[in-house]
Amino acid sequence: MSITTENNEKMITLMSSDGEEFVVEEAVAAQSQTIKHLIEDGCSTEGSIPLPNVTGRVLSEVIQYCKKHSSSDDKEEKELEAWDAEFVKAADDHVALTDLMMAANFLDIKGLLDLVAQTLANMITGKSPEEVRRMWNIKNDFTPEEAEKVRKENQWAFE
Amino acid sequence: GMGNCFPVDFVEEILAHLPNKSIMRFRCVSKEWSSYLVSDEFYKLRFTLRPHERLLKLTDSGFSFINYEDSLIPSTEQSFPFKKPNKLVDFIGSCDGLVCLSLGCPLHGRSFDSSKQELVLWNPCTGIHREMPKLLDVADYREARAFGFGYAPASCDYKIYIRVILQSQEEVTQIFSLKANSWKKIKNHGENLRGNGLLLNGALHWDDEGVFGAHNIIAFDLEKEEAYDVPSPPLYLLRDVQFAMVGIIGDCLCMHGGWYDTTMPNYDALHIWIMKEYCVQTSWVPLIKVMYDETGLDGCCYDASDMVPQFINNNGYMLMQGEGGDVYLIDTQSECTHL
Repeated sequence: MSITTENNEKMITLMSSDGEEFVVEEAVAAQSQTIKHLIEDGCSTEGSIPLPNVTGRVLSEVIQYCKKHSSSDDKEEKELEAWDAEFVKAADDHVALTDLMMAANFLDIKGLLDLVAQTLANMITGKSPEEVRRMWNIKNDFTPEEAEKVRKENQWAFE
Repeated sequence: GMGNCFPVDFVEEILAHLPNKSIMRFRCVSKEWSSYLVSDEFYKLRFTLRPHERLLKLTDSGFSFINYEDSLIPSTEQSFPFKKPNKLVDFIGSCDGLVCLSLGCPLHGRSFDSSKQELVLWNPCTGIHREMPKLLDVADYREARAFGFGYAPASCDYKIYIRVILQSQEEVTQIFSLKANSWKKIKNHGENLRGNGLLLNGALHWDDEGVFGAHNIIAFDLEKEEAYDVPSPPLYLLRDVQFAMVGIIGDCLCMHGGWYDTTMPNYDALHIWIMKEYCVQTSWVPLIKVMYDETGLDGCCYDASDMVPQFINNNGYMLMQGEGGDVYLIDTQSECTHL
């Protein structure tokens, strides 16, 4: 269903996997390449656009992000960066960030995908190989000799 | 444990956002990570995401990294993995983390001898390197004038560009295609191209010093193998500027220059102009002015025309490279640090 506001903004209705409906401006929704293509294909003219992979809780966060990024221009770059930092801080646990990343990937919102990937990368940046193995459940399959050799080749990273 | 909480499907995206030091350290995590973190696939993804993170510092004896996102201290110098003696290493260009070097004979000056020259492509993060075939007709070259290295996206090919002067004064331009693994001669272009071509938008860029006062920029499209003119800043911006050199900041061409004449207003600063939209002359705007005395630029570098801007980050820090490969970090608000 598409309706028009007083400002002549076209509105789009999105429906989350758990049946929650969100009415947003088309320009906001079109931050998602996936939704943009659905709108172009005429999927928004009959009822709401179903998003089967995204829950209402995650979708409301994604919409917050898209609203902010569709209303800001280049001049506000610094302010936007600060806003992004606060935004990921609010979602600062692995589960929430994982959900956001999956949603950003499915909805194809490059800026959000990069933001969350960078946040997750920052969490492991200073970790040791042993800590990373623990976090990601990875088995150390090097023999002691191989381990020593790889470590030597990358010695700088341990200085 | 926390293992299940980490988004395993997105390992590649997350790893691509790590700084270099972490990437090198995480090669020790497992065999799979070890081989993935040196693969072309990984470096392609990574360089599209973080193209400007690290500098490679080359000297005659070896190389080191300067990572200006965490520490600005160069890493311990490592020696080159090449068989040739380490002396006489000249930089031709770099792209996607690959570095193209000329070894064994000086590129600059008049003792260029291409029979002694070895051209290598090298990934300094992995140590993997490969020797390229020699230039065509190696016999009577006198000097290499202009050179560059870059990627032609449509044909997925890396190319090396070298322009040489023969003993007879004649100039010859040759292009090497990594896919074809061969050199070919092409038409010369531009009048006075010198040194390293700057890679942007699939093309190499040089100043082309024309008649006195003209600041021309020539580009060479690596895909089409054709040259074109790039509009330089409008004259009112560069009025009375005595030197102006082309550079790249971020994704934009820039020009930096200044006045030698102490009677000129603003002579005491290095000025940088930037072309916000590629090849649109009206998009040239002044970017910043770095005062020589406040930054100490004057003290660390006698002639600022040798300085090439490399990068300006969001906090106003600018990296500049001076003659001989020295790197300076300049707080555009206050001081200059020699790295």
